[in-house]
Amino acid sequence: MTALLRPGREPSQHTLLVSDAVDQGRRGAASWVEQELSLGSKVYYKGWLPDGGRRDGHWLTGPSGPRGARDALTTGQLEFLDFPTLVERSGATSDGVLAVYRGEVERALDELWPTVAMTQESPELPMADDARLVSEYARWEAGFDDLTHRWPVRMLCQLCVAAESERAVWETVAVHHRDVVDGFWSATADDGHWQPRGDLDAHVARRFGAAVHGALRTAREGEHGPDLHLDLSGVDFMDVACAEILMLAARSAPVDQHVVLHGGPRFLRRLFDAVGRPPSVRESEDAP
Amino acid sequence: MTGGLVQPGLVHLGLLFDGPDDLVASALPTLRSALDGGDEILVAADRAVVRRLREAFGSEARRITFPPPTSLVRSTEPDFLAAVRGWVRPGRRTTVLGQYLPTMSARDCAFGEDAVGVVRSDLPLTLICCCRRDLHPDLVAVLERTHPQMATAIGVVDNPGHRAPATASPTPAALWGEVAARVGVDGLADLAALRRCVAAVAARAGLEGDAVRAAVLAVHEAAVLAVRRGEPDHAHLTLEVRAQPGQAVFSELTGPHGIPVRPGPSGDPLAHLRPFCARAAVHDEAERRAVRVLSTV
Repeated sequence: MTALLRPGREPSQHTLLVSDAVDQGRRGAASWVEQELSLGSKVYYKGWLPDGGRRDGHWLTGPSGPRGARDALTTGQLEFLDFPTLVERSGATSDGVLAVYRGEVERALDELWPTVAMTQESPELPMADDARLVSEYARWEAGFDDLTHRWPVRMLCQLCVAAESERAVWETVAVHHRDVVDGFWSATADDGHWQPRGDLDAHVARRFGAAVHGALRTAREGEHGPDLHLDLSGVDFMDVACAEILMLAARSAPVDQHVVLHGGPRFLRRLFDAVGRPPSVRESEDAP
Repeated sequence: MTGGLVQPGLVHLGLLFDGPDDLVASALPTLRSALDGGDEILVAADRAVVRRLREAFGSEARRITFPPPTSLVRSTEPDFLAAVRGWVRPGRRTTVLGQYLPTMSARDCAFGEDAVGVVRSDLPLTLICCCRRDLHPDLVAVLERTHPQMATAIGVVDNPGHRAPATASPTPAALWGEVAARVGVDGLADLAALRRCVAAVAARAGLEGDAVRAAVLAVHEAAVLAVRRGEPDHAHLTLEVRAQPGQAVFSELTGPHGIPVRPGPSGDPLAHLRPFCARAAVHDEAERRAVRVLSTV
């Protein structure tokens, strides 16, 4: 979360906030909501209500939540929708989900809110055994991208690793590789370059691998593709586990797809060589 | 084994003997190999041994230096290690033969031998440590425990009696001076603090740029190994970092002894971190495990 609030960071459009534990995720989401409220955004919050289904029992809008969120719920700047109701309205299809979100954005703009902030808690979707659901999920997340491009919308998707299956974590991070914040590391995409930042270590190696997978998949389909241009200039630390995952992903890519390295210290190249750099990983002309 | 042969670092040999003829017969294959390889050779032995070696090597004995046996003895372990460091010559290997003296303390002797094995094993040295079988049994036991290989008349053989240095006190880590930084970690999510700690000490010790990055990576990987393979899964580890400014950073991770360390594809569980440090070793005891990493300036 700290990276989300770091001075100088451009306002995010569609960001995934990853947390290991429930409390950690709540702190990050609460900070984001508070910030959006202070910026004057209309905030739509979707989440799980505790037993009894009362909004004033929720951690954000209940007595123990931040004062600003409770007040905003009263004034109408913050609206809360619980997940069962969302599923009922949307049918858990991509078209249904997007229709709900689009309706909320249009209503907020009709009410002359300058910006719209939308966030949802970790959805606990049963992706493990449901390929159709994975496909629908990818489609509605792509629809969220479209929402943020067309209107003044900022979207924060929350992912609590402790609450999700491995498959759900993998698919969620892969879909959000263009803008993910996960503790000590984050990633963004800009002008055809994918840029991970911060500390990439064994603790986040699987999530980093998912993001690499998503970046490779998107690069194959994008206008700059099929090569993945990897900007390493923001990487402060990478360990053997993450280096191996990156090299393995590059080795597994189609034969016509390369990973092109930009920037970053020479030491990272030494690390890649130590774990086994395949021919599909090559240097750009601006390499150190 | 010596003079441009396979092992670039320390070769630490023990030699048990009954008398001068026995010692010379067991040392000859190693010394011959060292002479052929162009090593500098020091033999600090009693007069009977020196006489027999001069006879065995003939005119080539002029290439061997014969200081008195007491010249290898130092009053403290750090002084002893400094003397060991002083035997190193640029661009070539040095082979040193020395004898245990009857007046030596078994405890001090064990400490020095362990220290050489743990903290000086990156040096291009071949040490042949000789102990007469009729010395105090504790001294004989030290020689049998602290040497991974033995010099014999048929050449160098593995020593089944070798035991890696204990993690318990006295630990050779103390030779690197006071603990410059100590940090506790509880699992993989906690390793950023460990990395910052190593980076700060390494920079203060004089490591720069990629050398700092390598030291940090090596200790981080050692911690990953210790945390992941410990039991319970996310065991508490303590990192202690010591530094000798301008020379080295010595990091020691200790925690509960867990499931056995699994060897990697090469058979060495530390193979993935060795390219990034001068020396790494795992020491297991019944209750504790220690992983030690040495990074040099």
